[in-house]
Amino acid sequence: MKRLWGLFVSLYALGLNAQEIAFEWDWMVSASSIQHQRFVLLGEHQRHDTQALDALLDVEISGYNWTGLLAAKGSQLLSNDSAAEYEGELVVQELFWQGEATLFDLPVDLTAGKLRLDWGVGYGYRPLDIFKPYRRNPVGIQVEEGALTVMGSYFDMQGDWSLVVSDSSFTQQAGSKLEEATEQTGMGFRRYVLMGESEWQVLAYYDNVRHGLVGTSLVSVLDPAWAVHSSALYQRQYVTYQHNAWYQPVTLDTQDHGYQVLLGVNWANEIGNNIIVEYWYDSRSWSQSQWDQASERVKVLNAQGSTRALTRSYAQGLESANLVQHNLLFHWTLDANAWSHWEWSNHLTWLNRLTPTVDLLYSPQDGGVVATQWLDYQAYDSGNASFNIEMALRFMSGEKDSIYATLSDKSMIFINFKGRF
Amino acid sequence: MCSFLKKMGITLLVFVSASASANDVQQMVKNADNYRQDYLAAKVVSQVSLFKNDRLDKTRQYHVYTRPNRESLVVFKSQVEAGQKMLMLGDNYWLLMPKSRRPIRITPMQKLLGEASVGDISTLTWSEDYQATLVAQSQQTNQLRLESVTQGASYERIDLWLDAKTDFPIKADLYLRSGKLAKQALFEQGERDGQTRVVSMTLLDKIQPAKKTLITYQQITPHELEEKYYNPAYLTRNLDSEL
Repeated sequence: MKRLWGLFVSLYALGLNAQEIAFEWDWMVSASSIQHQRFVLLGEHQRHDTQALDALLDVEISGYNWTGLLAAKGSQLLSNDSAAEYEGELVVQELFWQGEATLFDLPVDLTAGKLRLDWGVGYGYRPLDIFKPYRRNPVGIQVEEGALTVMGSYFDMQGDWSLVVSDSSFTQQAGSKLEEATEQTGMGFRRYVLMGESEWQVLAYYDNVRHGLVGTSLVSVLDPAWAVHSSALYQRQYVTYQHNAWYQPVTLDTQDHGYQVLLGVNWANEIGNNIIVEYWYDSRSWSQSQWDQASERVKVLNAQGSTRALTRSYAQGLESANLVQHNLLFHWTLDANAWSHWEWSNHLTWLNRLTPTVDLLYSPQDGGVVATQWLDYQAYDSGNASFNIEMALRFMSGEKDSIYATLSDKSMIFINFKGRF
Repeated sequence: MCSFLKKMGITLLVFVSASASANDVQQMVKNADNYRQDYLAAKVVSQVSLFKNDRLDKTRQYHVYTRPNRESLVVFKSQVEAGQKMLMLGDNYWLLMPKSRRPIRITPMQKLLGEASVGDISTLTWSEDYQATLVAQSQQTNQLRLESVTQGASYERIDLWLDAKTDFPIKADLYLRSGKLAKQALFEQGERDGQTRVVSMTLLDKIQPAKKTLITYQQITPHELEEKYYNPAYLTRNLDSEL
């Protein structure tokens, strides 16, 4: 770890002297407290609560047509769980080259290397994030890695044509069994077009996991305040956990014909309110009857000592991109300057540094709710450096038998200290 | 008495409006625009200083690449915003956040938000966004009312005072869609490349009087970016350290 910090100090010193190379530094220290509860698929949690301190330092270095994004992550720097061990990682999130070439008399822009390429539209979920999907809306520290990518793009007056080859298996961080099983190698193309106030894209991609997928999206701004977005994706095959016979664990299996659909609307006003409402459907997730069956089986299997070990396999259903098939999301954020528009807060200038955000994720099939609230306070900002303090709260709630309400992490509180320089 | 004064006011307004043709008024606005930015396509380097209770709170730096038809690319250059870009094509807007490879489409309303509104930095002309009428004349100034004709105009209405002899902009009251007076702009006259130009603009916040923004135009040069820089799909290309 000392060598790791040495590397970052050297990079910082280099940044002070190098004119041709740009360095952008971010850091974050995150203190968390997570309250646990008994989860039917996992049984009793070993602890009632877990407190931990994590840290992250990352730098984007760009110059001479190269871009690198490196992160040093320290997990469990402090923890009240004696079983949790400190873990330090240096992660190359991205390292890619971009240049230009002429092919068949056409100017083509090239990209090659490890890149976080994401063609998805949407806030809560992005079906067209097909290469190495991001984990979404984190409350604590999260380091996303790119996929190995070679891409050629031709930009015309309407938009662009892109041809891409990608391999998502070159990752350093350990993923879930499902994530590892869906690491793909493939190639495909995208056509993106801006037409009037609307933009659309179509893409087709073939890889060794999904054996062919097609996707499309449309984003349209209706008037100064309203915009709509939608996307859909069909894949010939997908990997998911399948229920088997009573006395067999759930196993990873390949299924045919998966699809995801997302519809969203965005509204903003001049004061600074911004609201997003989205609905999405993911056919790969367990249906309500599959969750009910899992719950019922776990109760029976738990009753007998010899079959108790099988119950944990059902918890793997939690590795899905979406825990439930139908999802409804409400997002609200208020621009920090909005406080000046109301008389009661007009003279409280410190409020102009405070940005509140609320996300409510609702599962219509079982009434579960995930409520997340962020309060971000900009403590310092000179232009050359900034420092923010953020409090993030996440509660699993809703109907008492819903998946979200019964998850083992009942509530989470994060205090994040973040900075840029 | 009150209604008599009202009638007199309306008569005066009609008289003033009639005395200058619409073409003359639009020409006044164009002349005023030329004091701010007179190239078809230009690179504008601006420094923004935000003051709170007359004390410098923070600074920002932007490079704005403008071209006709209300198209511009704003490159955020301050260290705390480095990597951020905003593309404006007419009433269409995209934002790229630092270290992100995914441009976000935003609505005209969202473009107005932020401490130093990007609209204040990127828009150096009025003639493409507003329809002007003359509302008052004196020996020193002409007072114009500018009504927005585009969705993306930063303000719904602007009351603009121009020097009666030169059309140099003196001050402007900037109104939101709600009709609220948001800011008052004061223009400083100076010299750039041997010509009389607006060298800085001070924005007095009328909603929070403790706040003031000074935008200094450090450099305005003719500059034409390649066409693809105005393509939303090109925003994620990271070859812009020279921008």
